[in-house]
Amino acid sequence: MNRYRRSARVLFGTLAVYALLVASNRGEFWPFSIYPMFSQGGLAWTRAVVREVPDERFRWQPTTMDQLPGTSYALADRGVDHIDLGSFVAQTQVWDAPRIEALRRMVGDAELQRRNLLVLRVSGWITERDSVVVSFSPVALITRDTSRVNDSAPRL
Amino acid sequence: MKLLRNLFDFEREDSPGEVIFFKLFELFVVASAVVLAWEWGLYTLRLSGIVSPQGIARYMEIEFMFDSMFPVLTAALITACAGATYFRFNRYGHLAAFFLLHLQFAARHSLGKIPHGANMVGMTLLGLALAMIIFRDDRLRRRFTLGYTYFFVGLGYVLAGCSKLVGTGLDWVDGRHLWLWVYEKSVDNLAKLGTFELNPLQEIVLGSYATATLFLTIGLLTELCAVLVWWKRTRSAALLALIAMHAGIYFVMNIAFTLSVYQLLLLAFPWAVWLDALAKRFEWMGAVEQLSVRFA
Repeated sequence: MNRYRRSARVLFGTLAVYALLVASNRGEFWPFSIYPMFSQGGLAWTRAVVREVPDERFRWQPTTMDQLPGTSYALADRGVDHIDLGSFVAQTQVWDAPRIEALRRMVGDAELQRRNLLVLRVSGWITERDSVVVSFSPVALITRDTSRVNDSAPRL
Repeated sequence: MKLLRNLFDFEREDSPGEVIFFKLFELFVVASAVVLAWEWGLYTLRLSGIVSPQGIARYMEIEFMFDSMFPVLTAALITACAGATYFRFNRYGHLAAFFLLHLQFAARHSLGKIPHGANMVGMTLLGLALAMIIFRDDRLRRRFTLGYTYFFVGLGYVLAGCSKLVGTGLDWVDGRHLWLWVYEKSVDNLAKLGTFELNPLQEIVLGSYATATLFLTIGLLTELCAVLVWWKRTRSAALLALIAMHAGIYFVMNIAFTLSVYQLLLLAFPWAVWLDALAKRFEWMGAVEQLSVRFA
């Protein structure tokens, strides 16, 4: 078979499989993708950040970046993927025992032996006055012995 | 047919520099795949199950990848398979590595957020795997792999541009959207590093709606023009524009598509010509060429 014809068959065969898989899997079937990241402009987003707190004396209320409780905590230094954590927090509707256990496992038992960690859900959106608002809501406090959650934290 | 000739260019003979370049290019792809396999495998050990099934996990149970050493075993197998084909001990190792890497991805990224930094490497690994199977001649394998890669690099970026037009429409370039993303990525940095500070470029973008809109317009046009990667005459310019776009994304949004940028750098510049020039100046390059031919 002609080398071009053979190459074309394989190339367009891959393209057909690509189209079939992304069409039937919401645009993603690694490494095939329609690359939908950032395709929806102006969409509100949700992330998560972790703060180290000395104790439980903080307000379980939404706050701003300037008034975050506790001290900074870098997930990268502990080998935790911040995108995974953000996705996990955003997708958690109810903080039941398995979800809390999964959160503790994600952060790592060794860390919880030494620190009290406060997980905050972060939401960002554009207001009608064309400014961006970023709000931090405490959702879970995990320590060596206890886990406290705030299921009433506002969500987008 | 004209497109196929632009992509594959089977008629042209390879220079020694092209043989060496391709072996280095293959090394980049294989090494990247192996590093990803271990990164994903070791991270999967920390996960307890699937939240949002990806890829093959939507069709079969992959719970065996959790609470077990299977991710490590898979990474070891990927290393062995890709290594064996890199040194041409067999023809099917790259294909096996590709499928196993997909499994590894499905387990690792089962938490819902899907990254795209490894897609280009994955597509190129698939191109290498298919080239090994459909051609016996080393030169044809090289030509096919590169043509296949050019095609899917161009297609990927065009699809990204089309997704934006379908998802939002022409309004996508509205500068306020960029403001929201700059803050989103700043919060990502706060989570990742514990701190963040806006850089001067971010401050300019946040301070000027027109500048933010211009940035998004240039980005969208660059993605849509990536189809020019398919044609020899416009390829280098299109690839350089994509590299510049990634530099802009890095400085404005703190997102580094490291592997993709490295690969674009390999594809954009005339490395083979430079290697030929080196070969003329230095005798030891002859040994490098012989080694490349031995495992071509």
